[in-house]
Amino acid sequence: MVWKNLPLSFHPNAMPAAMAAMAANDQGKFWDMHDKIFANQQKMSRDQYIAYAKDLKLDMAKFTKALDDAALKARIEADMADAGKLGVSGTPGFFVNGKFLSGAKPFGEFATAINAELKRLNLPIPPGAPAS
Amino acid sequence: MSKKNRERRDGEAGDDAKGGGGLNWLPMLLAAGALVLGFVAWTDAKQVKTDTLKRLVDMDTKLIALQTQVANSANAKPAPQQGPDPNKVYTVRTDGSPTKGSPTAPIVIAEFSDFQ
Repeated sequence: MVWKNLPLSFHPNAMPAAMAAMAANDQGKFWDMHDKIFANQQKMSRDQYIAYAKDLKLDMAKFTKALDDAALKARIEADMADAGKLGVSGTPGFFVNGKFLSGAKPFGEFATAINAELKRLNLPIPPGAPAS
Repeated sequence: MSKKNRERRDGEAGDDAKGGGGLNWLPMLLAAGALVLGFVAWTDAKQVKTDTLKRLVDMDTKLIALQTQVANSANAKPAPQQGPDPNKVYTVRTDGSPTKGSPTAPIVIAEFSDFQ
């Protein structure tokens, strides 16, 4: 599973949130920050992200500096440029081994795509894996 | 014939008598009025006809334009698909991106997403 940042321009809190998540990523805590932001989507603010960082026991000097770091922002913008080149304009957009699945699809569609890939690669579908 | 009608006829006869048999101004006026009204009605009808013809020509023109448009859109290539082609295999750059799971997993799901 790979996370690619695509903060949409009409989501004003999306870029600062992506910055906070990537700042946490630099300290190995991307997914923890990701989960905290998603769990509290109705209160998105810099103060919240700083509070999460404290919860996660991050190096706060590093974290707050990263929140405004131009190089970090450039990495997010590089993801956005990748999305532009691939033609992804909405979120979420998934690529399962390079095959595009658009939007928040029902789980079954992912199972179908994953099982098809396993079959193509001549790999066994793990026992107990959801059928497509 | 009723008495009333007869009296009126008598009266008309009396008027004729008074006019002395010459041209009476009242019928003349009525005739002139009728002519004027007729002329107005005729010009009106002519105008309506002209307007109607003009509108029909306009409608024809618009109809032809519409037909051309429909024909063009039928011939045009289908609208470019929204987003990546689901039948293609793309390469997604993953270096430096946050990941979860085994780095050697046979299946990699790349998610483009935001937090809002």
